Amino acid sequence: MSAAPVLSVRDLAVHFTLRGGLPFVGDRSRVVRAVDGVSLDLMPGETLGLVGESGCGKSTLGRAVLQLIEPTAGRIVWLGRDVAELDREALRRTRRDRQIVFQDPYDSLDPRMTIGEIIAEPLRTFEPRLRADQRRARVEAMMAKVGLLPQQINRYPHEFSGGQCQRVGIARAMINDPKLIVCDEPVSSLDVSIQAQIVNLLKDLQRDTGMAMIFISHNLSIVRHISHRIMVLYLGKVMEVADRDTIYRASRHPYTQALVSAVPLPDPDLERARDRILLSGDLPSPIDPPSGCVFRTRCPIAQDICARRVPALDPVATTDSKGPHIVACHFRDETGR
Amino acid sequence: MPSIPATAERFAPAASPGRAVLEIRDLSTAFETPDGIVRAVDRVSLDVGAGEALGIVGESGSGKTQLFLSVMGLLAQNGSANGSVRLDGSEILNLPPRSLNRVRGARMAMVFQDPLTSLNPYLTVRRQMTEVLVTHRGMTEVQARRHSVDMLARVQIPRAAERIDLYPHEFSGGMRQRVMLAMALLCRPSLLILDEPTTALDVTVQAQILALVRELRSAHETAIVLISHDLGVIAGTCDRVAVMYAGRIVEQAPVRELFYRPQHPYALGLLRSTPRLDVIGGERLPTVPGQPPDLLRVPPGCPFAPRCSYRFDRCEIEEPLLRPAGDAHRKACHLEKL
Repeated sequence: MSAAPVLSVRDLAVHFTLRGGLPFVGDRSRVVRAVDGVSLDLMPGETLGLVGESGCGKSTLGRAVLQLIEPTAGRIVWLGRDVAELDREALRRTRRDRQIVFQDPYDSLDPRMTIGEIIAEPLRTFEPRLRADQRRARVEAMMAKVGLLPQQINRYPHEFSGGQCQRVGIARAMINDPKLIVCDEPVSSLDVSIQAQIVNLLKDLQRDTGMAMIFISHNLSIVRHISHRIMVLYLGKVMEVADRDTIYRASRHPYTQALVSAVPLPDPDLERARDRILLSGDLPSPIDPPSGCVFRTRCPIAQDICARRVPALDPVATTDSKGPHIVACHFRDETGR
Repeated sequence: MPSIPATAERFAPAASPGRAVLEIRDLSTAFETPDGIVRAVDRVSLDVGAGEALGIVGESGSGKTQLFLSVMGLLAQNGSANGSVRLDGSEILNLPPRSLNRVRGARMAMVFQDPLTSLNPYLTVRRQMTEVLVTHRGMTEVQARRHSVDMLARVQIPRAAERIDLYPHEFSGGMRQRVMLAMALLCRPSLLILDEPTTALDVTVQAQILALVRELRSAHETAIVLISHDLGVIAGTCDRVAVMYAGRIVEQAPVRELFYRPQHPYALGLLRSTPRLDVIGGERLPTVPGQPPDLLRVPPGCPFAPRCSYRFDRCEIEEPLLRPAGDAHRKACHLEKL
């Protein structure tokens, strides 16, 4: 890994304004803070896992760093340049290097286009001067790389299984040799035996190209497997960041600890012998998040201070984490287990 | 292969449960489609003992849901089932709807993955719960309401007496699944079928629901069938496991046997390719190559053969039938030992 990050994000926020509500009560616009003050650096060849429950803002964050959703506040620095300073054309060119793979492999492919046309589309956009035969050669080479047969180039998405469609989605994202791909739940709709194939494919592609990845998933087992570092989000805020093994073995945030303890292990003896931290209740509404620490309403160790003061996202005193280990908890140095 | 840890407590005696609540014999389910006949369930035989928790594992299209929709008499219009299904000793397969309605909800109940689509959005939870009791138990509305509130409290819905008058959309996903469990348990069924009950839920809520299922099971002595693609969910909750592939049961064993000594190459492949949270990350995952068969064109011989790294000539010609492979362990595989 070289020293300069491909992507740096500072204090990124995405707020959605909800309008509507009851009639005759005036303008009741309310704000959902989907992402609230997130900072991160991503190195070439690195995979950052984003985990958290539904509504934690992980997908919104993934889209915001690609500017598929325009952030409300904060800075995005791409390859050393603040994207706010780029003109339209320069911004367009950065899109070539920043790609996304979506969750639902069927919904994200145009059913009226052939596989070949789908994979070639980013090439047509960014390398319009390529001759048809050159384009076809690039597409076929990419298909082979992701485990599709080049002779399938004229088939349509409905002729493929979910796993194969996801390979098409990956081929489309990879065709311009991007420096970053955001994978938003890329294996969640696939069967277990197919998930492993896709995870391996992404890792192979990363090894060969040195691209950085942001891997978004609610499946913590897969995230541990593919990521180098993991960021845990709750109600739009970062709770904890550490290397993958530290998140699972020595996390310090009570939310991370509860998440990890809730993941079932495919091992009857271990699974039945575990101490689980059962969180009570459900996620609070993001329209009206709790004061102080957003996690405090479900936190097993919450104290008075947690309702009064927002905990800073600070490094823990001692850690085995490779790279920074930061935790947003007032008791970050007392929660080690 | 994973080794067997020393401790074996916390397990109910898994083999040969006493009385069978559910006996499925030679059940086949087929769907007529414009492209041909899809054999979703293919000659399945299976018992569920009283108070037992049986896990059904398989990927999409393996037939695990259709098998139990057949049992419940809930197949789609173009589907038909034949064979035999006995509940508490009496035949229930293909009963006319009137007779089936006396069994469903009363003696067996099914909870589905998405509680929002299985609850009627126009009716309060109270209406949907009391209806069951008035119909099956002949209770008055007042009795039925009291009984329903009790049941909601038992599945840990706070302020049950107030919340029973809410509509389904006013509950969160986890709470809705609790409502479904409460409804399913209202008439104390001898069999409760849970089809991916936690798949749509967040992992912390999943842990709450699974803890509740285990608790209810020991309190009510209800037999449970837990259908899931998540091996972790099965590992923590079930006594026995059946693995399905291409509409057939390919392996069946007590839970520890299946997880620590799988005998079918497909079960082994599933176990190995499942990433584990307790294993250090970064390694390449073993995979099961290829994809599940097209049920319109299941290959002759063993349906798993095209993906199996242990296959030999016989596998492509002769279909392996379920046969003993150890203590209370059965597999459909020609291999002597895996």
